[in-house]
Amino acid sequence: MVSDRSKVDVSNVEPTVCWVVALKSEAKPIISHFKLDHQSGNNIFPIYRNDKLGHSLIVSGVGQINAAAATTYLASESGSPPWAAWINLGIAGSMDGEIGKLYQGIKVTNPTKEKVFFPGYRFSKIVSLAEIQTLDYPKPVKKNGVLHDMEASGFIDFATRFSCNELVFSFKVVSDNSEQDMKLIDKMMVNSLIGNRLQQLDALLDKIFTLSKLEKQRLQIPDEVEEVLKQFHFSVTRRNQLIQKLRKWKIQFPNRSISDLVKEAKTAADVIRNIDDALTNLKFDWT
Amino acid sequence: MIDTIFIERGVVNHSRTQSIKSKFKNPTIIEVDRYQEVFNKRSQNFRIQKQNPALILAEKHDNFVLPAPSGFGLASTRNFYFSHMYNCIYDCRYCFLQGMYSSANYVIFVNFEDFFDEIEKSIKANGGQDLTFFSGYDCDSLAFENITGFAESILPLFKSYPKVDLEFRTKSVQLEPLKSGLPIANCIVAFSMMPEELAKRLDKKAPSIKRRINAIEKLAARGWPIGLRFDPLIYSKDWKQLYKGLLMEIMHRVPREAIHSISHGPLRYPKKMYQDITKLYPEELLFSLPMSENNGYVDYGVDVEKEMAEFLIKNLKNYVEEAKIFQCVVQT
Repeated sequence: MVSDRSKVDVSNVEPTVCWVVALKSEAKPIISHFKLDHQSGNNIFPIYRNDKLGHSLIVSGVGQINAAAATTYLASESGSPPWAAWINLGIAGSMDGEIGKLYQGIKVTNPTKEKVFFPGYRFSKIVSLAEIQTLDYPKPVKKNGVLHDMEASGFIDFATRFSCNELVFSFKVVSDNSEQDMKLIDKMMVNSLIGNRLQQLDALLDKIFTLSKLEKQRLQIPDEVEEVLKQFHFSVTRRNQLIQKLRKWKIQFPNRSISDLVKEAKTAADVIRNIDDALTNLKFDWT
Repeated sequence: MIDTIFIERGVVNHSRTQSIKSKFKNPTIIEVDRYQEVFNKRSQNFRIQKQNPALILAEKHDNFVLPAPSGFGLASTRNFYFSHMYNCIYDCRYCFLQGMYSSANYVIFVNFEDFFDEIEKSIKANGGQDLTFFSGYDCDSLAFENITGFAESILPLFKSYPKVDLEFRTKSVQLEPLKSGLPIANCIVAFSMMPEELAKRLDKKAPSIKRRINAIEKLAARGWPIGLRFDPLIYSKDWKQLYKGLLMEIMHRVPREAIHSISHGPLRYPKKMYQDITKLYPEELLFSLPMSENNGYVDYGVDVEKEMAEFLIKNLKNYVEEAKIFQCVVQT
């Protein structure tokens, strides 16, 4: 994969939501709503970002392979952290679904490859839940309660390698059903189908950000640890020990500075010993 | 409230599936081939999932009844356990289930009758020996009773084998079908207990100790044999005072004749499980306290464990005879 990273400064950027959208017409309402800027450079897939709001979006093109490749490309280009939420948004066919209604795919299958996924924390109070079948070509749906799309499976297969399963979502708006043929779908219609769901998507994003923040608190290495790591040479094992032990120490001594532990230390081993001493002498005070 | 039920295709039309489904208002129903495709999926986040678990209805095909892990049991010669359900509606911070399963979804095996057949086979195969069967090793035995009706279904079986013990391990104050049924002398209702001050911090979503003691009082008055389970014992600066207070309250409220058995066990995890749980809850005070690795287990160390066990036994001796007190140290 070729990229021109010099054109995209990722050093201080922390995208929290990564959108993977097949068509430009599906992406347009999101680009406009979140004021995303097109990233210049030799991007294989067009990327749009708003770092202030924490959004990145990639236009993947149609199909599972494109979705999988674009997901991987966006992860690499954006340096997405493991607490980023990943969203695949697009249109889907249905048999009985109301045109324009938004669904969250909670079971996604790929009948060709016999793959099955159960992505995302479920937001049943905000959006209806459904099963999505990802197909290689458009095909009318013959079963109630099932949506047909062409990307979700490929997207989820790869997005769950960059974030946990509960932060990977597939949201689909019904574009055709047994009463309205898929041949009627055009760019204008797609734009409007997605655009009409922005309020609902905002409500979903509110909840998604909360989950993402929780995951960030769990996974992020505290700044103070980074400072200690710069001062001494830590092997990989000792680095992991330091992170774990300092977390414990911080829970016990939230108001103390880590500098107390390192001021007389000469080596990484001294630092770890100091933390161990502080933790061993604890009085197990719970109440 | 459960918003989604995954159902194995093979049990979609099972009467118990229909009955369980009917307990929920408009759940989304998704059919699956086997429960493992949902439950064992990679990259699941137990902690996030625990905020809104789904229900999975499945059929169990084998391993209905298993020998209890070494160190788990009471006075019986042979101890067995069975799990009609995986995972628990409570969210106790020390619980080993959060380190054992990658999913927080609830699995219910609807083919109860196959469990009963296998239990009966085990009873017959071990004829003449003292046997105890434990329910509630991978779940809380009674917390989901109003949905599953499992306890109500299994009680008649054990009523017909009065020399074989059944233990329901629970924190639930949902007392049916026990409260309205006649007590069965070999069916023990065992409550997990710890000082209220610690339970407030650790037994998340579970009934308070006060409510558990009220429930014990009611069941004891009905004549059900009561088990008290101080497992795990949680250390703190003032643990003696806290546990003494708890024991006094229990002794004051629960008649000693009602006590079938008391067991206690230390807070202890296999190393890998401890690492997994602490990764899930790195900010948790419980895991910031000193514990050390001993022979592949992470625990408070022999001295603390011994001191706590001795203290408990000493304070319980005036309440029940020592033969009713058991130490439980599971070697998984």
